Amino acid sequence: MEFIQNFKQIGSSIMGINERNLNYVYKLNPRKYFDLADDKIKCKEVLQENSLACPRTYASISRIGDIQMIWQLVSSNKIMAIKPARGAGGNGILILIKSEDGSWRSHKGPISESEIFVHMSQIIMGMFSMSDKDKVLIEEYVESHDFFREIFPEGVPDIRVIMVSNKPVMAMLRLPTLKSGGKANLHQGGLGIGIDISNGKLMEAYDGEKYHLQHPDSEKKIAGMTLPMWPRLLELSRKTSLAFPLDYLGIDLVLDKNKGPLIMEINVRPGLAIQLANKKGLKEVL
Amino acid sequence: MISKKSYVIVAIILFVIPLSLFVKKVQTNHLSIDEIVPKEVYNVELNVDMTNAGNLSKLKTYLPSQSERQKIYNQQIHCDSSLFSVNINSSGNLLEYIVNEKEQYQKLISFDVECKSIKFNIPSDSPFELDFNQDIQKFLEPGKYIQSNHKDIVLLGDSLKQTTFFKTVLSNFDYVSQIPNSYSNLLTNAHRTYKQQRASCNGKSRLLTAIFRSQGIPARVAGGLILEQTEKKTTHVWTEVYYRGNWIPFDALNDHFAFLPANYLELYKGDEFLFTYSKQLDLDYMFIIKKNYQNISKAQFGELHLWALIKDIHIPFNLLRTILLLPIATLLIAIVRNVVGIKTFGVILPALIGLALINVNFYSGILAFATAILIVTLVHLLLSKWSLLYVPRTAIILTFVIISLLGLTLIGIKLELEIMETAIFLPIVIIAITAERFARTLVEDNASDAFKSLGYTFLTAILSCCVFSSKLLLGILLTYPELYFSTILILMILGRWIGMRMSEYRRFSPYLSN
Repeated sequence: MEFIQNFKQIGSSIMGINERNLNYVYKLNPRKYFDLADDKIKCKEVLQENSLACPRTYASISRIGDIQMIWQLVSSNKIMAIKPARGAGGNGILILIKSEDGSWRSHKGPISESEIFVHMSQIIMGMFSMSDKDKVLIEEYVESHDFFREIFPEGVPDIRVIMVSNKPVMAMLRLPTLKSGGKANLHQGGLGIGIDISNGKLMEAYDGEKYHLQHPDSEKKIAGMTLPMWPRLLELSRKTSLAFPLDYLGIDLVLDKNKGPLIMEINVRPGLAIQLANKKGLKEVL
Repeated sequence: MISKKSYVIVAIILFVIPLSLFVKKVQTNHLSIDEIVPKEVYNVELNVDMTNAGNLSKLKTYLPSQSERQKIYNQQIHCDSSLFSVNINSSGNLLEYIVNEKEQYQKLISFDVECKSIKFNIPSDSPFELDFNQDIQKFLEPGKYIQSNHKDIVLLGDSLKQTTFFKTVLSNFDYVSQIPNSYSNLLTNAHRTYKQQRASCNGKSRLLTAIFRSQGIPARVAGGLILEQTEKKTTHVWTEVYYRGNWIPFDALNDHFAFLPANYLELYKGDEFLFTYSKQLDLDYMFIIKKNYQNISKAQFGELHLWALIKDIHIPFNLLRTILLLPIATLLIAIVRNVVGIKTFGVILPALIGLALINVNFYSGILAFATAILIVTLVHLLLSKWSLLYVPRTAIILTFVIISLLGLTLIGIKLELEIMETAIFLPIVIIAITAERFARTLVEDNASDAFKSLGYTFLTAILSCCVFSSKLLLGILLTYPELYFSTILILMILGRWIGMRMSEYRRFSPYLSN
């Protein structure tokens, strides 16, 4: 009996993939505009046109032959992020840091220029984007706000806000863990933490199996803390959703140490785990 | 919404049309399952090449007779009806044909046959039968080539006789089975087979028959053809033993105990010859046998059906089931993914793996597949460590799939493991794609997700393998092809179904700790 009760309760509050696709993704997002979200370079063009804050683009490369020439232009930067324009789940992202002797280090260790070129060609050949062609995006590296560095010093946490018809309906903070290796995705071992939209207060942290009051690695308190600059984060999300002809969006933001809220990317098929992070079904708020 | 209106109209059409066609067919032509399932059917042609030195020489041979286990259709004798006669006697249907030309090369007989295998269970404690009626008693008498009264055979029969009928049958059968085979087509009688300890089917069947008769068990020889897709002259004989009203078949050459396989066509009973002919006649002959799948009992349908694919254009069976059952396999995958919520590598990949599995021994196919995928994945992981460019890397992987399949097969041949010998029959590209997807998930996500998806991919592949090997499903679609519209309707409903997937109830169960 309780079993059936549980089924009913989940079924009446949680939104499943079938319903999300049919009633939200396909209904509210015209397919011809999917590219504005799927291609980070196109997305940034829209952001820049509308003066919405996002990490600075150093360069984009669409042909393998241009790699060396463009590298000359950007290699004066001390730190940068190299990304596939159509990558998903944080795959293919390379963070490059210049050492004092001029050699390069990635988040995985020392890396030679030729290895960097191979990585860029792999991006262009679509290795990280399930397609046969992609572009390289080279952009400013975001340094996390101290609020996050105090909880866990590694990686870049981000904030996901679900916008339906330009209104925020649910939000979560994603924090990296030792297990997730700098990435903040839930299924890669990161933490998902529900955010009270009205005041930016953090809920318990969900690791894919259970809920924690503290960060499991650093044991710093999470639940009950208030996100800094929450009203500004919400405002930036709202403006962003207005700038795109898409009515069901997952907006990913970061909080830069110096620049404050920045848009990292937008998603037309935002995942459903956010419901677990919030212990609340999307059907309850829609 | 315009799109919704067209959806409803199409859905109604897809519901009404197949339903009305189906109902009409069922009303006009009530078919049992047995009449729908496609069966192995052999088309047999007897070609003769004769040189005739005399006048009105005669050729006698047997036509197959209709029985519970063999159904004969479309039998034709390709000559003027004044030249032949058919006599039905205790040995079978004897055809007598008059050869009236000097030289004759022609197709003489053709027919289609659908055979069933037959198996008898003899209880191990079953006693000997002692009283037989007159008709049966003659099968205890010695024959010209079945010297059951020869003292050597009588002694042999005594030494093989056991306490019960079953044990005696077993001991006789084992004795004759272990005699080495020879493949000469010279006539070998029972006694010579015993003396030479070497024989082909005719010697072995006669010796086995003689042993039974010497022990007081009625037995006879039966002869015919082993049906296979080939052209051949070789005919076959086996032994039948009478017990409690049944003639139980035994083939000591091919080791069939109380069992006759589905491709044994019986032409005559008793120690007869398939061909007898006048001395002036010189005969050469050839059986041309073609294997096909169909259901001859209902090969003539009036309405819409697909049996013509087999009957008229002789589409290969594997191609037929691939084409007809692929839509059903993909329907199954759609249900598995969107209703059950299982993650597989790709949508069509599990169906392709399933298709590959029906062509090899199932278990060895699965094992070879898994082994090949694991080896290729290891190579994949090594290659991704070196960060090679995509195209050369893919080419290396494809080459390595072939190397590992060849390797597995060679090891299999050496160790005589059928499991590994099968490897080379697996589809290379499908293994390469599966291994690539697996390795990618392994590297980019995590090991438990990768193994889960691989497991679910195989599970779904096994399910679609069941679909592909179902002859019943194939028969249903051949007979009622309108059901394809119904599968589209199901998919249309599935395509607008917003319910939770079963796996999502589990995934979101932590929500309840609220």
